[in-house]
Amino acid sequence: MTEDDDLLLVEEVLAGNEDAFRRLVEKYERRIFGIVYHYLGPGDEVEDVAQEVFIKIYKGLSGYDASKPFAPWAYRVAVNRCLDELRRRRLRRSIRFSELTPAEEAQTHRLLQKFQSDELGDDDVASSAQILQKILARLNDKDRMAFVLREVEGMEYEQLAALMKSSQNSVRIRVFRARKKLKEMYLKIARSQVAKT
Amino acid sequence: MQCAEAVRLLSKRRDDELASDQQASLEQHLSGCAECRLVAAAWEFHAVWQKGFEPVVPVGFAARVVRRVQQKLPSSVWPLLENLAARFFPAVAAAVAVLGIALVATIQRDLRRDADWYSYEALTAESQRAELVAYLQQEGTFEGLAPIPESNLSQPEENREK
Repeated sequence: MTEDDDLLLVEEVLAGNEDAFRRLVEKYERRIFGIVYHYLGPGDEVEDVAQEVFIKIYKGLSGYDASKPFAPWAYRVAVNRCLDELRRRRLRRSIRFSELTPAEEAQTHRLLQKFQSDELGDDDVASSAQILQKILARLNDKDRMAFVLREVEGMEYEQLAALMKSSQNSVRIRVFRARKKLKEMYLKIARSQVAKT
Repeated sequence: MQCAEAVRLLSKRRDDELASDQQASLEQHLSGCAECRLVAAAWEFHAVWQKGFEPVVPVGFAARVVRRVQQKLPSSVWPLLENLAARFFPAVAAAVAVLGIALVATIQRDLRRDADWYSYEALTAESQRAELVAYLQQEGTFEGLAPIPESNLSQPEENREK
């Protein structure tokens, strides 16, 4: 479906066609769900937050500027909702991030070695969700958002810039900053594991 | 090439934006730097690791969203009124009951007032006044009746001259 198809769907929704809204949800549910999941991490609230994103999209359709593409606008709603949720979690729990434990560092290093020797299995990935979230939590919120959308969702920098209401240069810097932070973490883990042997 | 520059080029390579001459310089650096090779592998691994947690949209997600939207934003006025009525019925019913009681009480007070007035007016007939005087004298509470002003004959009690 093209951007014109999105606009037609939006017009139908605004005219009161509930089936058009259902089709709009089905078109974007995977991407919106993915953004929420990768940003907030696994948990029961992922579906709730994703539903709230679509409700905000529905309520905001009357104010949506039809001269601009629908997808970045919708993703922006998702990103803002995720940022609100993170702020709420921090206020509630007063935790910004936590360090990896020595066991978690060792497991991360093992996973990386398995990947390098092409032995990484699905079970390895499934058992390490908490470690991954701890690593991602070390990233600045907006850098993390740019990184996840670029590396995991495969968004182009032009799309990212529109989504984050920023210049392409700024989003490139954010992604690079996130990559450098990951570099520091993985090097630290590798050096500490080598030092133990 | 220093590692800082190699890391910058590695980032460009991840974005498929590395020029061919830069590629050659980078490969030369990587061949001699284990840490930069680790960084390249770590970035690749991290993306695969994170994508491995690709969520599956739960079955029926779209239908649940549409249902929630319908509950929050009904498409016609009548369901909205029904929702409002259902939500506020106990409070409205209580308010109506209080108002009803107050109205009945007011009507009854007015009726009693009117009844008192009519009772008195009924006694303005001379014979009935005589009977009243006799009764009061018998009770020992007679203090004398003032003449009834003409104007009081058609006035409610609170407006009568004392």
